Amino acid sequence: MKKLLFILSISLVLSACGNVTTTISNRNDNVFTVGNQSVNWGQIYSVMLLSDPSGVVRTMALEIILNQEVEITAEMESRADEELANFLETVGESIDMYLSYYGFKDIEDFRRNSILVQYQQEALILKYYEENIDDIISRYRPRKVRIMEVVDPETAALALSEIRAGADFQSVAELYSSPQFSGTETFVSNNTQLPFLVREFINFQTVPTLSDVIPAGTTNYLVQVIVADPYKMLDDVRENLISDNSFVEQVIEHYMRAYNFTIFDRSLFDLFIQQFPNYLGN
Amino acid sequence: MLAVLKRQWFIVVVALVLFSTLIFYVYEQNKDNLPARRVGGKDIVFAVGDVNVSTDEFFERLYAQFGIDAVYMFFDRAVVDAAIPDSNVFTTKAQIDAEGVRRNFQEYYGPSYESFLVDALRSLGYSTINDLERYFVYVYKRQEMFKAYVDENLDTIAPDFKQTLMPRVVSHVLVVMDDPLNPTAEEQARLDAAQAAWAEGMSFEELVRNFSDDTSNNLTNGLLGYMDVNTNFVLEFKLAALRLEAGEISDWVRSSFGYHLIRVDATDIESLSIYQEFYDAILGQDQALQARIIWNKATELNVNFYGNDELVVALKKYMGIED
Repeated sequence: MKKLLFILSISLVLSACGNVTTTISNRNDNVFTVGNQSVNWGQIYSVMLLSDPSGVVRTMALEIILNQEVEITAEMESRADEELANFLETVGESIDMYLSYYGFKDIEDFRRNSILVQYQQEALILKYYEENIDDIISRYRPRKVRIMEVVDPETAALALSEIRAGADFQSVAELYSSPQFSGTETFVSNNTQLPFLVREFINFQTVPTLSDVIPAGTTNYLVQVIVADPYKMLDDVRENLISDNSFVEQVIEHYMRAYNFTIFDRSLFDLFIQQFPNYLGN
Repeated sequence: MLAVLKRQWFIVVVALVLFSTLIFYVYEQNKDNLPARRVGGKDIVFAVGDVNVSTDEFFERLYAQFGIDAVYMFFDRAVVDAAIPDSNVFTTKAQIDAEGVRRNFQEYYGPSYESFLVDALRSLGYSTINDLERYFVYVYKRQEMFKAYVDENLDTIAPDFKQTLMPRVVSHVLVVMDDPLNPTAEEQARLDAAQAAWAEGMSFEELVRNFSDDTSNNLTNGLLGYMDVNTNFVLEFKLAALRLEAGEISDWVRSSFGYHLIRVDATDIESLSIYQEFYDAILGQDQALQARIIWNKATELNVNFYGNDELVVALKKYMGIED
């Protein structure tokens, strides 16, 4: 019984000390003293943590993943040299201000942690794309389409009948569509912002098809699916997806979770999860 | 053993219930907690796969981006705290201001206002809602420190400031009109009466009492207080007021509010220095002045950077201090 009581007491005590706040090794060393006021490095660290350093955490974590997944090639090094030279020519004497604003120690730090990291990230996205192409195609359902938006349902029906009678989709769109949808050939995927019914129509086409009038709220759409088989437009799929910010973000989220990215500081965790809710393994 | 359990069944049941409750409590307390990790005596702030990032490494990266801002924020506050002692006056004013801000946030953001307030305080380097009062105490102490510096250095600061910003204390009589270009008969009659009274020799103070529609100051002889070229008054009023010397009174001036009679009460430093706006204008005119005051005060208080010359150079550069 005494043992049981002891275990229970320890459990209670431990339950009160689970949320961790991290600190630095030299936290008690003074940064400066003025009059009777001293400030130490621990205070500087704490206040920097409060100023939302989520972006820095993301950058550092991503760099670790990039260094494990993507080797820096001689070609990347040479491209980086060229880009750096162009950049230095463009910014001229403002380089110091630029480096200090973005927190780079010097030009080499900028070359390594900005230019080369960008190349590594591009290579990582491409690598993920190539290794997961079937999964990506089934998830993102890429298609090539033409879309027009016509507010008035009778005009939409008229446009549809003209296309069915043989008129060119884009020419009809130029006559009737809102400026947002010009009827030009467009790459779309599940990341493209489209009304639900339009998206549904596109997703379920397996051959080139012309839609009926698709009503969506106070407006109407006509859709012509031009390429329904993504494997017939792989170059377009790759080019469009790897430059799509949402796709890039989803790939980064995938790697962060795959590497079991874990934060051990409570306040940092709370700030980070607000901005990047899908990154964390813990 | 079984016999004992059977005999003491009630105690056993109570013990089991207590035990289960405790286990549940411990689980509830811990389920959202984060694990801690230390490697080689150092706190680990985050890990990616088997790579641990220590707080020291993280600090270095954070410091490169935000460090000098953080150091300056503490430096400014430490200099102010070291130079100006706390006082009940500051505390009382701070309590009133803090309560006002809290009320405003509550009205604007509703029941979840505290999280917005904490966010605002975080951007100022504070961490909890209880720091709001502390922030206002710091603001008042800082004002006091700057005011003392300006007062001590008025001989050098004032001539240039007076020439550039033309500071003055002004009062006015205002006959309000909805559309001054097309006054109603009643508005016109009020203006005619005021103009006639003024022409017949009624004093400015009497005119304020009898005719001015500006209720914010008609008990203080129409006093508007401090103004200069940057004050946000309507243009017609501002131009007329800036043309006057101390003691002079304008003709009737039409603005979008109606008709004003403007008096410049004073342009001398002693009269101007009653107003906090005077000090704000001096400090606002020369952006580097605040940083110089902080740096000079720190030097006066024998600031010690513990041999970190790199930090001194970075801080002086940040503050725009030249040797």
